[in-house]
Amino acid sequence: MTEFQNNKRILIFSDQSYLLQANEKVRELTEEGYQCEVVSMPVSSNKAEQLLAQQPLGSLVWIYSEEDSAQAIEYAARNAGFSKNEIWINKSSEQNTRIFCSQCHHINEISSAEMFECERCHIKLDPSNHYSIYHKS
Amino acid sequence: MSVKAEQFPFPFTEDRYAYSNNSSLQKPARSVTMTDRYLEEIQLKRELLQANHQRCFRSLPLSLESQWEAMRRIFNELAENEPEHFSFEKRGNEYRFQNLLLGEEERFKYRDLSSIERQPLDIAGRHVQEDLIIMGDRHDGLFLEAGQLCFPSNWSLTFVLGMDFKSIHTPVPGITHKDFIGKVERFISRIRQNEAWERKNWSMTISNKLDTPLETYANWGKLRLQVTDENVGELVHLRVEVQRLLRLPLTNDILFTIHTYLLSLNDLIRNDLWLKRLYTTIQFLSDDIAEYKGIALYKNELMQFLEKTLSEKGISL
Ligand code: HEM
Repeated sequence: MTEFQNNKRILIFSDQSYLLQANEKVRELTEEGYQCEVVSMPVSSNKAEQLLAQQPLGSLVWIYSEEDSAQAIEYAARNAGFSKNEIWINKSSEQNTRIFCSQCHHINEISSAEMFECERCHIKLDPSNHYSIYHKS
Repeated sequence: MSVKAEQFPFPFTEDRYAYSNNSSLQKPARSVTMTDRYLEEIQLKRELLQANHQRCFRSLPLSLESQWEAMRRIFNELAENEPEHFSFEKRGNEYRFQNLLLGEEERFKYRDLSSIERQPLDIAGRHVQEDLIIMGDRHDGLFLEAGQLCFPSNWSLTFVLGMDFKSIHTPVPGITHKDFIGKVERFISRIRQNEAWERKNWSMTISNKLDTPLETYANWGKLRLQVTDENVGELVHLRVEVQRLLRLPLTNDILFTIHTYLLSLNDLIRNDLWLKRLYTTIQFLSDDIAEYKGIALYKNELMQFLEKTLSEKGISL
């Protein structure tokens, strides 16, 4: 997340199930000199848009939530003028990671980043951090 | 599929190698060129497209406009620069492209999808040696929106479809250092209409295989382990990609073309200057780049071969 280093203000949206994780992150970030504000979800899209619009230029938006509501916030943030690089969506380490098979293009859902075998073509895969927003994997 | 040494675009202008924006403005602006390997390479491309169409051609629907523009541009260029081999005529909205080398023609009504059987970029690419990529220039950056890619150097078109320019380059070691890749993206976004820039990228391939996609790495990657002191000159090829960036004036998107050349070390070392430059480049190559380019596995054999040849030829550095 090197792109974020010089930015100081972070608006964090989190739904109940992620609050602990989000708060933990806030502690870390505050120590690193970031100003964080946590908004707990659900939140109406009007309210979200209003909060987003109030953020100073260069702020960041972090979203801790499941896919659908995360997308709604992301959409609101894009409408409010945030660029893709300024929005980060929780890819929880407890959830499965989607790994794109470099040989057969099958997307495997796995829980660790160790070497594993693609469930479709059985080639051995050693996951890298090359991430596609398009394939979400 | 190696090319003759006279047609080989040797990439090193200095004795050291570092990533740099080594692009230069082309006059006249060309996006495609031909070598005497034309017929063989076109045949290989067509076989690959036939056998693995999904791997070699991908597009997002929003790329269609630029695809049309790119096809017309490419056919125009071919007819203008190689009139003995190609012709391109327009009557109203109807176009006819003739490829005399292949005895084929393409007819279409511009921007009328019902007049063609394949997508425009997939048609155009079948007549040129280059791989073709459309980078959509959106307000927040460049995105890979379509491509016909038969000869990639260890990457997957399917994986990077829809990806932004910076993310495409994530695997390249050190590429974000001093915001190098950010600067390159800004450079591309400033390319003006109809301007074409050219740069050379290099790597090494074992054997003269042009098609080395990520998808078949399991087949060709292992050849790197087969390099020995005896076969290095024959097996190892310098692989150069002449890459061109052209701004399409109507859609404002970028047509990125990649013309790949291979030359075996045995052919390369006939040229003393090339031998010397290759040697010093490999010598000073950082470990992470050698690893990324897959050279680390046979670097010792490679260096010994080059040193031996230098001393046999009595060349001092
Ligand atoms: C706009 C079109 C471009 C596209 C679609 C593109 C795409 C790619 C891809 C797919 C790779 C391989 C990444 C991997 O290993 O997965 C790559 C490598 C690379 N690209 Fe680009 N690129 C473009 C333009 C440029 C430009 C203009 C530059 C520099 C001025 C550049 C510099 C590099 C470098 C240095 C590498 C590493 C090559 C090596 O060491 O073998 N690229 N590019």
